[in-house]
Amino acid sequence: MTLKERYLKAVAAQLSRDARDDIIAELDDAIMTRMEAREAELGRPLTEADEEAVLRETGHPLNVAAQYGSGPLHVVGPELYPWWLFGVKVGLLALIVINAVSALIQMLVGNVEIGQGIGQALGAIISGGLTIVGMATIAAFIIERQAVKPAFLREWRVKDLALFELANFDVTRLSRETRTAERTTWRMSPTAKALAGAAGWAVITLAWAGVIHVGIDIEALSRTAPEAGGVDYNGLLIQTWRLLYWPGVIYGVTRVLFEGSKAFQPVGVRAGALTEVAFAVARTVGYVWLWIASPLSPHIRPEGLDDFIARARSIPWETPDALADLMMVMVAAAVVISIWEGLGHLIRVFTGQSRKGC
Amino acid sequence: MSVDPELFESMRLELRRGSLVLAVLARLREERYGYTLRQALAVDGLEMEESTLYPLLRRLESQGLLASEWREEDKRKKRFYRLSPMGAAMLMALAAEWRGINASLDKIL
Repeated sequence: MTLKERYLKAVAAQLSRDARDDIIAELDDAIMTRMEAREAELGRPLTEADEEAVLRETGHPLNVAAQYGSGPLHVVGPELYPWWLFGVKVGLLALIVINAVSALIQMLVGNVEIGQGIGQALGAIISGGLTIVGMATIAAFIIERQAVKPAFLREWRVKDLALFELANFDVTRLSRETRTAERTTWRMSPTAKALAGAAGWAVITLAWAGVIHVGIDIEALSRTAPEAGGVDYNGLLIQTWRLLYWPGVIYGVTRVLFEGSKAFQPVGVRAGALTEVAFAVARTVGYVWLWIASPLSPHIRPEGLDDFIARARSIPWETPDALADLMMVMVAAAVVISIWEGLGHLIRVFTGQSRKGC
Repeated sequence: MSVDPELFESMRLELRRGSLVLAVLARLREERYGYTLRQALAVDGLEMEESTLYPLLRRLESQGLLASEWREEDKRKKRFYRLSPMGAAMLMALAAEWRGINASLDKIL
C-alpha cells in the first residue's frame, strides 16, 4: 500500500458511506495533482519523504474528513458553552453540599471515622463530578444538533440573571456588607428557578438512584438505628427504602423533566401550578403510605391525637421508642407541609396568579 | 507601535474568511476543477488550503450555487465545477453587498 493509499483509506474511514467514494476520488485527484506539481518543482521523482510532506500539507485525515461533515465541529459550541459551564458549576456545588452533609451525618452517628468520612466524601465528589460533567456534555451535544435551539438561549430576561451569581465563588461574597446588600435585591425569576431546580433535582435523583455516590450508604446508615424495644429498625428501614426506591426515581426524573421543560419553554401559571399540585399529591401519598402502610407504620402511626401529642412530647433519646416517635413527628410534618404546598398551588390554579416576586 | 504577530494573524484570517465564498463564486464564472481553482485564487492573493476549498465546493453545490461533473482529463478523472443559475444570482447579490461594505469602510478608513 502506498503512502497516498494509506492516507486516503484513513480519510475514507471517517466519512459517511454515501459520500465516501465521491470525496475520496476528488481528494485522490487533488493529491496526485499536488504531487505532480511538486515533482515539476524539484525536477525529480518524489521520495517517500516528499510524498509524506505533500500529504501533511493536505491535512490530517481526521481534520480533512471533519470538514466534509454536515453537523457542527464541536461538542459544546460558543453560544452554549457559558450555559454548559454554569450548569456544571451548579451541579458540582449541589454535589459538594450533599456530600458534605452526608459525611457530617455519618460522622455524627458514628458510622465512620472523620478521616474515612472526608475520604469517602472526596471520592464521591470526584466520581459524581465526572458523571455530572459527562451528562452535561451529552445534553449540550444533543442541544447543539437541534434545528431549533431551546427558548432560554434566545428569550431571556434581566430578572433571570440573579441566579447566575450562584457560580461566583468570590470570597468577598462572604463579607457581611455584601450579604446585607445583596439580600434585599436577590430574587429568582421563573427561568432561573427552573434551571436551578432541574440541576438540583438531577443531582438528588442521581444520588437516590445510586448513579452518583454521595457518601450515604442507606443500608449502612440504617444499621446505626438502634434495635430497641424488640424492634429491628435496621430491617424496617431497609425494607422501606427498597419499596420507595423506584417511586423515588420516577418522582425525581419527573421533577427534572418538569423543571427542565420550564426553562426551555415557559409554562403558564395555571399549568405549572396544576403540575405542582400533582407533585404535592404524590408526596402526600408517599408520606401517608409511610404512616399507614409501610413496614414502619406499626411503630410510627399513633393511636389517636392524644397518643400523637404524648409521644411527640417524649422524644428524648433515652426512651426505647425515641426513633419511632421522631419518625412519627417527621412524617406528620411532611404530610402537613405537602398538603399546605398543594393548597397553595391549587389556589394559583384558580386565581391564575403567580407567586410574589416571580 | 508594533502589532502582535499572532493577534494580527488571527484577525487577518477572520477578515479573509468572510470573502472566500465570494471569491470562489466569482472565479467559477469560468469552469474549473479544484486544483486550478486553488491556483487561480492563489494568483489573486487568496491562498486556500485544500482541506478548506474542497468541502466548501461541496457545500456550495449542496446549496444549489454550483454544478459539477466528472470528466476525464490527462487520463485522470477530475471534477469540474461551475456556477449554477442560482449561483450566478447569488454572486451578483453578494458582489453588490461587498461593494457596499467596501464603500462604507473606505469612508471610515
